[in-house]
Amino acid sequence: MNDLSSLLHEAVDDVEPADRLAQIRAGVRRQRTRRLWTWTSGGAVIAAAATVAAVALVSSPKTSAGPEPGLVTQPPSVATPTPDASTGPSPVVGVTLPVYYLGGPASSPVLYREFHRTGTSSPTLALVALTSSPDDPDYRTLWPAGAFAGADQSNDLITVDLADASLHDRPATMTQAEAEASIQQVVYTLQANAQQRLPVQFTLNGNPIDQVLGVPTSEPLANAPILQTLSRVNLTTPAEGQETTGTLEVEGVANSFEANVAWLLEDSTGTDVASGAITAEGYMAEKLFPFHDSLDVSSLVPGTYTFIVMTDDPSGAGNVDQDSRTVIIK
Amino acid sequence: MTHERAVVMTESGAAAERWDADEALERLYAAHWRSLVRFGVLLLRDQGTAEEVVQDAFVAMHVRWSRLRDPDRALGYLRRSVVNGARSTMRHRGVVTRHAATVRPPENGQSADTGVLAAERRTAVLDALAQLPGRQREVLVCRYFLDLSEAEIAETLGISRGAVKSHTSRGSAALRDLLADHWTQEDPS
Repeated sequence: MNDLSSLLHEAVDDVEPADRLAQIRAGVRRQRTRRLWTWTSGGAVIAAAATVAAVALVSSPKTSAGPEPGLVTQPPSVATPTPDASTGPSPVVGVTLPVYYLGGPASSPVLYREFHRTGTSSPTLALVALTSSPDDPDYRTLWPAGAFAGADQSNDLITVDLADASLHDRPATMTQAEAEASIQQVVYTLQANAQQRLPVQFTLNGNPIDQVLGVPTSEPLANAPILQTLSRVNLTTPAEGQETTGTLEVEGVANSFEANVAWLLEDSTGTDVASGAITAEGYMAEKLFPFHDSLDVSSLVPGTYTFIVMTDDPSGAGNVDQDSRTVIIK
Repeated sequence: MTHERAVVMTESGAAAERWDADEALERLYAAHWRSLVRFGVLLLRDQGTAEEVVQDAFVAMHVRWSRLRDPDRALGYLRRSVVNGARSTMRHRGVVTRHAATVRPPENGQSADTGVLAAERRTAVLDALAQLPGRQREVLVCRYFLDLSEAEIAETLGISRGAVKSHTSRGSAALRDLLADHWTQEDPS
């Protein structure tokens, strides 16, 4: 019966599989996150995480300017001497500009918020920021530079004037979901800068335009529901490429099952070197809740790492939002 | 620590128990990735799918390493996972692939010395395996490609030893018919 053995061996002896060790490690990481959640629901880790989070509850001025739930415009607390958002809607010099960008797959993009430093704040500046590259390479904007002529804000309306009619229809390269997210990107960014949930009217030459990127816009637009539009987890700190020694300060907003935000720290080879969970200030509302933590990274070898945060998915279906930053531990 | 590990690399035993899951993953991947993918190709006929199935098996093995703690048991676990993954893939494919007889088997690289005849034979073998009922194919591949004993096959496939026997005899008879040309060519004894 040797012949059958040699026939079978011969049939595949030229099969040289691709190297998939990296994909396997990525799969292990996803499994590990799932297990992490199993533990946290068990209670032990969650208690530990809560302790650490309590220690980390440092100066985080609540924004008094957000008149509606979910309108989080609080700038990162590490962003040094800028006027605090709570001092008023129109600071004169050195402001932190919240700008939203698209992230995630083209079929179901979500919006992420970045804070940009600028000299002054205006709706038009916010639009310029929105057409420029995000700091985080994982994010993107689909608005070309020069897409907008400008923006204006009155007591009850924000108007966005397009530069020309070229963006009336959805480009073939853009999915329907991306087009809708891009419209909401404008709405969320301008509302955050106005620090009010004002409706947004798209115009061309000052007149309302019936559609932009193929999305109906003849009426002023409200912001779409937060949890259907924004990533359910969004890091504010660390910033992309941030350097740190000893302690990694973590800040962000999330809406995750039972307020659990899982984190992983990967080294440059993609190996996990640390993981844990942070408890956000809540999860039972149509908004994102702040979370903070101070992670001790003093035992880690200096180098470049990736810090990843994820929302919980008790269904195990892998339906999680995540955000990540490159950090340099010195 | 490092040199200790290097010495033990050869086989199961005390030191392997000290491997953490990441280390076990790397060592088992280095030792078995290729042969398990080939095993998967024999079961599934498609290299890309075989790679995916084996990839999933390695991820699952990593999760269970704390309970396996032994390279041989881990290899057994990997094989069972590949078989299960192949089975669910086949179920998924269902009718579609049964008619997709035109799907090409993996390309063979150098044909100069192996020749057209060998290439044809490869295709014929993969075609023939694909035509067998699932259990017969599994049993034959375990027996003649992996060289497993009857007991090992029974454990890998989750069937009785009696079933291994009957599938083996029916499967080899069927394969003998399907491969009549190549069989006689290859079997002067």
